[in-house]
Amino acid sequence: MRYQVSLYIGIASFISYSLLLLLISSYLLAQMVIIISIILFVLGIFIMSSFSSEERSTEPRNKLKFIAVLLPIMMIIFSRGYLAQHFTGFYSYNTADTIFIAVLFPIAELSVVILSNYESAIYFGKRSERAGYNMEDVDQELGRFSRVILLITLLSVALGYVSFLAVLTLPTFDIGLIPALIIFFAVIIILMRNTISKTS
Amino acid sequence: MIKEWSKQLITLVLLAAVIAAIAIIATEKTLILGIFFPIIFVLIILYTVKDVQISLSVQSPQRLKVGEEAYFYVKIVSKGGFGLFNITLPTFSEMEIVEGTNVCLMFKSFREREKEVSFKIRTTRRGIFDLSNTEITYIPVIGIVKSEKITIQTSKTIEVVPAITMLKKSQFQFRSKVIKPRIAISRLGPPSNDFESIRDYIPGDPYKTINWKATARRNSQEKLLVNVYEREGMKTFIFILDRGSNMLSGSSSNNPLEYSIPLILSGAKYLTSKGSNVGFWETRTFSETKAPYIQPSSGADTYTKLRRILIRVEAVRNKNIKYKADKTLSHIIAETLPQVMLITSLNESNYGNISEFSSSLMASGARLTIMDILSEGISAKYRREDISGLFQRKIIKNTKSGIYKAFPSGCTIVQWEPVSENLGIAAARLAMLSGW
Repeated sequence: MRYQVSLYIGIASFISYSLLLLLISSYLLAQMVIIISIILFVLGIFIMSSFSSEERSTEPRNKLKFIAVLLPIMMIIFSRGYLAQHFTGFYSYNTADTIFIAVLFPIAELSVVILSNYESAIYFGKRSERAGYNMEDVDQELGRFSRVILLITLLSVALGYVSFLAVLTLPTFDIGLIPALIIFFAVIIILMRNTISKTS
Repeated sequence: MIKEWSKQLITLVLLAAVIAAIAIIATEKTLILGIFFPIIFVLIILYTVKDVQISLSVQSPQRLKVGEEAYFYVKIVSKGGFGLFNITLPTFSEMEIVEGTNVCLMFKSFREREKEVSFKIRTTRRGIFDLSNTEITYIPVIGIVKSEKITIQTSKTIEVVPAITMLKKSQFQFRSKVIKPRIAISRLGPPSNDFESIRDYIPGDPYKTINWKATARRNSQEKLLVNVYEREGMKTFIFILDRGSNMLSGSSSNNPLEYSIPLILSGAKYLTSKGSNVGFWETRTFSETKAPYIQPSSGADTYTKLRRILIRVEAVRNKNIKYKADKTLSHIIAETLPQVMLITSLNESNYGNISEFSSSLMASGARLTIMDILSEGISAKYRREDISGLFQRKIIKNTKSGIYKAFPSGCTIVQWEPVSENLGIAAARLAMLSGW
């Protein structure tokens, strides 16, 4: 099926995320957390696939993928800054390169979004199968759906980096506190107005 | 999906918020990256979504015959929205889809989207049907915008006309078991040169009509056979269709009423083509003040009128039928002394009324033939495939013999088991006894 590509990308993202984390940690506690998160991730996919074969009126939810991704993220968070003084078990992540950490976050979130997309597609696919749809056509449409979401996700990742770079470089312009606050609130108001008008 | 996406996105945004809070506590700039992704993702979708705008055009035939197959072509155009459209395309009742499907998914992204869908249907029953509306469920890719049910009106009707059998003269040119009267009951002109059928000689027949060859072939019975020639002028035939609940045994598309309609139309087509006058009446309920009818007349116009009436005719359930000729019918019968053919399905509950009706028709001057459509076989067809045969012939004859005895002696009754006998056989039986 065409939308299976989402599953492969989701899994690949998570595997690379887990491997990178394993590479930079020699602590047993940290490695245990990563292994638990991998188990939860696999379990989530398995449960989600078995849900999809059942007759359900609402889409099954795979919460485990969130937990699987969040566990190592929390571990990293607790290893940074002054929090690391209290959570010494994860200290190895404190020594990891900042850029390395910067790569991990988007990969993890990309994995969650892409998997959610796959779950929606597989749910619709299974429902359509029983409802007399032309499965080839459904497969094509869900394939388009997966492709577009994948594109938006990649674009979001790219724009996320651009925004991050902007955050890093903006202080070098030294625009002053008041103008910075004005710009900040102006952007917030514009975004809020548009969001409200879109969602109302 | 809408609900799910919404929750997932809310979770993503929450995740971003939690990371932001912890990033502040941890004084780690890199963690800010975790905030950007979900927010940008939501914003991209929100700012690229336009209001839902979808339209579709349906190409379908306006007129079909029962049992005919036809393609429906649907073009769907979506200019707004960003998500999945779950579309149920228009159909009508009393049809079945034989190829393709009338449900489809369509994903609309940033660009305008066009999609063409086709499916093939087969009509199962005559009638004038309104195409159903197109039902669309719009499932936005982002759950913040609510899913929407869209109904697109399809103001289109399809006329499904009964499929008739073109009856040929040759189908009825075999020796009738019933002797046709030399002087027709119906007012007729002199015999023409058009051969109609062969029958036994009756004293008074002109010698020139004796068919010596046919007689020689049947010399064992030592009876003379004569040719019967069609008479000039117009014979008058009146079809009366029973609309009682007895005509509804079986399914909506397979019941005595549905079988009787092509029989009447085929008969009317044949008779009008021969120059005969054809009339039509239908039985009414007690609450109906009038029902459509056709006064006996000839020509293509009569057939067209009859078809128009028969497309719409419906039997009534749980209502008593008034088995009584109205004033117009009584007058026409007295005037033209027609051959009346009552198409019904006799059973234990209705035969008393129909018998009385038959007597009154005959008393008015009609020569009556009743076509009894056997509903037992039709009903059996829907119970068990192999049981249909049990009802045929012997069992049905036994059960019906008691019913038939209640009818006046001059009235002839023909049976038709539509499950096993085609329309041609039924028409031939009716033709033999009604003098088509």
